[in-house]
Amino acid sequence: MAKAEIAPVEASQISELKNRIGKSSRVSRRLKIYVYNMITVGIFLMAWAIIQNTTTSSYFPTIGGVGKAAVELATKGDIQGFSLIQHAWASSLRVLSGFGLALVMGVTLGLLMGLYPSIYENSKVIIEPIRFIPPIAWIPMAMVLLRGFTRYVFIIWVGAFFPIFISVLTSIPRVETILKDSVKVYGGSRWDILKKIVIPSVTPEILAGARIGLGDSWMCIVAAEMIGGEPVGVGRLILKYADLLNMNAVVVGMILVGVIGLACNEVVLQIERRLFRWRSQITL
Amino acid sequence: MPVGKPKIEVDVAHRYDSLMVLDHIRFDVYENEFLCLLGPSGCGKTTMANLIAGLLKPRAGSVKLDGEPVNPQKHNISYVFQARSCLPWRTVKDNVKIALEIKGISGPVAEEKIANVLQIVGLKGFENYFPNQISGGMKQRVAIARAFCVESDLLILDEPFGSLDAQTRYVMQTEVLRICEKMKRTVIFITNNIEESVFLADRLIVFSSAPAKIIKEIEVKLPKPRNVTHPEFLSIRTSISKLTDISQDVAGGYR
Repeated sequence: MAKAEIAPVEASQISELKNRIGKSSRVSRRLKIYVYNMITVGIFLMAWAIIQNTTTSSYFPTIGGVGKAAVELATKGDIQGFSLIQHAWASSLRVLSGFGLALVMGVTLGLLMGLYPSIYENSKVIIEPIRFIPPIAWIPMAMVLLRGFTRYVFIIWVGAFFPIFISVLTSIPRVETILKDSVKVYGGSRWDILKKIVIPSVTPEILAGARIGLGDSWMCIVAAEMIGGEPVGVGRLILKYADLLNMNAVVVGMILVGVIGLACNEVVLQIERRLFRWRSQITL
Repeated sequence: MPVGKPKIEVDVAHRYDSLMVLDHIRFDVYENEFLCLLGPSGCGKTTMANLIAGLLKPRAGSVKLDGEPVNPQKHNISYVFQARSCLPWRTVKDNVKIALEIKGISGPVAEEKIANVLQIVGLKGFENYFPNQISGGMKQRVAIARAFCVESDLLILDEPFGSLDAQTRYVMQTEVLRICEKMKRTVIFITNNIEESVFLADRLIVFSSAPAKIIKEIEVKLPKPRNVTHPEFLSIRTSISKLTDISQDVAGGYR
């Protein structure tokens, strides 16, 4: 039977293993990720170029066109004079307000109903149907009942509240009994159990729900702004140029939304990484 | 027979819904003795442990500690669980600390106790490691350290070495004996392993399978640490094996 050639371990490898510092491997891993991401961008641009040259539609946004529009919007602002930063800022403020409110309420109510499930069980018939109404369907209500800033905050709140609420609600029964017993047996009160076991246990899930909620918020803002009424906001920007059939500028608006979303996601991810060093799983 | 008033008086019967799990169990535990509860898997040993610790209220009867019904908020009870009870988000040091936090002990006094007990269980140097970075045996040692850092009236260990490999198990048995010698405690040790119980116990109570009854109480008077190959050790072990053959049941059984 032929044996596969296995190279014996060399002394140099052992000394290298013993002397290797952890940090350098982490840095080179990060570098690799950046490089691969750049390559992905390159592939995307190539695909775009191919479609650009084969499409028959005269409205199709070209790479060059988008680039020019981006520069123009960045330097001169849009046709009403609002700069990209103003748009981005207006939208971000609305999202942060709606999301912040949803986070506070979602965590509080989730904890409350998780710890006292009878409250949830007895009000399910109202909560569940409301949960399934998409935020966009709330836009007419928002238009009629609210004005200005609150309109947007409301729509975003609807988008962000339920993922967070459900995350918290469902994670509480999953807290391991043995951990609760560990505190109980040493004389812990219900409050001790809540503070020392339940909350640290569910925090990863709260953050996961928050990440989803944040994504939903961004999806809602664009829809909300398209109908909202105020002249600033990334959704408004996209619609302005869509009305003018300027697809290049529309794409710039889309990219703006995407970039802000990516930044938000990264922030939450970094928070997760720092808070959850104790987890052995890798967060995506 | 140990003399004096018993520290813990157990007189209970318990059922879970349709299953009668403990069929009138009556025994006493004396101060500073090392008592083993030996029973097959599924006979209700963990239920017994939970009843004694006050985590569960018996359907009939009571468990009294120093004459009063046992209450974890009033009495000082330490418990080492069968499964891993390390809080994954806390370091080794903080995992031990939590017992002191609940009892309201903090500051340099607490720090000293923690350092002391980590030294005793052999985890010095691992204070800032997280549970996901240490082995199973080490996690159980953290639980043991946590159990010993409080001045407890009672220490309960529920099959703490069940999920460990044979070698680690043997080491841990010797360690527990050593620690208990050093820090005098009343100990109730639950296991389904005959050799383990004879190795550790001052006194042994053998249970049948569910609905559990006490088959026999046995005193082991050999000096510790015991030699598992010593003829007297083996004769006690064999006599217990014979006892348990009678009640050997379908699920689990003795090892």
